[in-house]
Amino acid sequence: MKKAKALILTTAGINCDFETQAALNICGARSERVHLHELISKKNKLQNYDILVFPGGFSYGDDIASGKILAYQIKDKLKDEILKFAQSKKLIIGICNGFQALVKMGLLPDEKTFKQSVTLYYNDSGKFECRWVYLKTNPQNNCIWTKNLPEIICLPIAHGEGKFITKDEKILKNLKKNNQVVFKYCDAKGDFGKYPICPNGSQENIAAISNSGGNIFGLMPHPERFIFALQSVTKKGFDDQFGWGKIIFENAVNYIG
Amino acid sequence: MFNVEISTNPDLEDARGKAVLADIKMMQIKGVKDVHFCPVYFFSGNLTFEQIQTISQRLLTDAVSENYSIAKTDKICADKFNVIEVYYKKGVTDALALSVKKAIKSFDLDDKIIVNTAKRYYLDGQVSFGALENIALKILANSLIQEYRIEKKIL
Repeated sequence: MKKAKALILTTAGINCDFETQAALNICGARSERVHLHELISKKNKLQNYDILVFPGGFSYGDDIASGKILAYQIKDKLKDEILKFAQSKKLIIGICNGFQALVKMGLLPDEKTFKQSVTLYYNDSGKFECRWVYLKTNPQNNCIWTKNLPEIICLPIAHGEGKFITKDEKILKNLKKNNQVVFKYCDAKGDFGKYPICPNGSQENIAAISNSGGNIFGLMPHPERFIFALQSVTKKGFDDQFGWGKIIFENAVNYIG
Repeated sequence: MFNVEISTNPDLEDARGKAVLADIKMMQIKGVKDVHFCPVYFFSGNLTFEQIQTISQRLLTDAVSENYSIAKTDKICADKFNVIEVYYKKGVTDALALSVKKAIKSFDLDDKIIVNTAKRYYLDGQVSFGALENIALKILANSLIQEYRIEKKIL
């Protein structure tokens, strides 16, 4: 079985890279933290990896808007490299700040257009929301990252800009038609509702989306913070030991292997 | 000098403005009906209008949720709202401006371009100058490192 090789992209302000690396390695990957400038200067080649991770954090201090400068830099300096990686059906995940960067560069929801059509804007509450949330999974979705998850899971969130908005109704309609909505914020029973069930005011409670091919996945919650049951406030996950985040990373590793 | 003001699309919730409004209400200052928040970027140096437009579109504005407007003056228009603008004192590092300056390097611009930033708050309603000053000092500005200017709505 081939060992999946993951690149965890770091730059100024990213602070979830070590935790994400640990999560991936626990799930059987061989992951490396690589600084953005190593890719721009071609010291390291993106195409040598199977998985690309945009971890959580506060890239460039969230200056201008969360993920904006990182998205701009990637689009400006690495556009062809990223497109080649995405279109070769390799796996990409953007977690929290990484998700913000993916939508702002336009890799999600449609890597073919590579144009921004959705965004993650300031939470309606006007506050940084840092807590656990329930998420309803979409069984019709073909996202490689989220197979084998139960109908309702819980994961932690920590963001000030997580309100998912589409540019127009047509984009939202297409996301639903193509089953690109992966997670929605819900309560413990799986019912949808407004704040505090939906922590940010997202359209239709959307918390995560994928591209239509299912290889690019972006989510506001942090799966790397729930690998073991002990990391949760309830101390409950599955098999009395593990958290739902483990399944997400294992899916990626198993897909490569 | 160019002054780029970013505003939230009118059909979206201006969460940052709403948060300030909640603070004003908590202080029991009466008369403010609504608050709109706009970050402002000031550029001076050898720049054309077209270059500023490109920077505004590609870097400063979110294509889905925000709009931008470019003015060639730093004069604040207070014909509809009371305005409070908060900016850093001279000598205090403007970290956001530094990030913007780094990011615009790829636009092949003159190295000597100066970038500054400010936060502009548009306050709707009838409020006295004293109350606006109170809001600026107690909610919006840290007077140790920031300054503010107030433009009262033209009646």
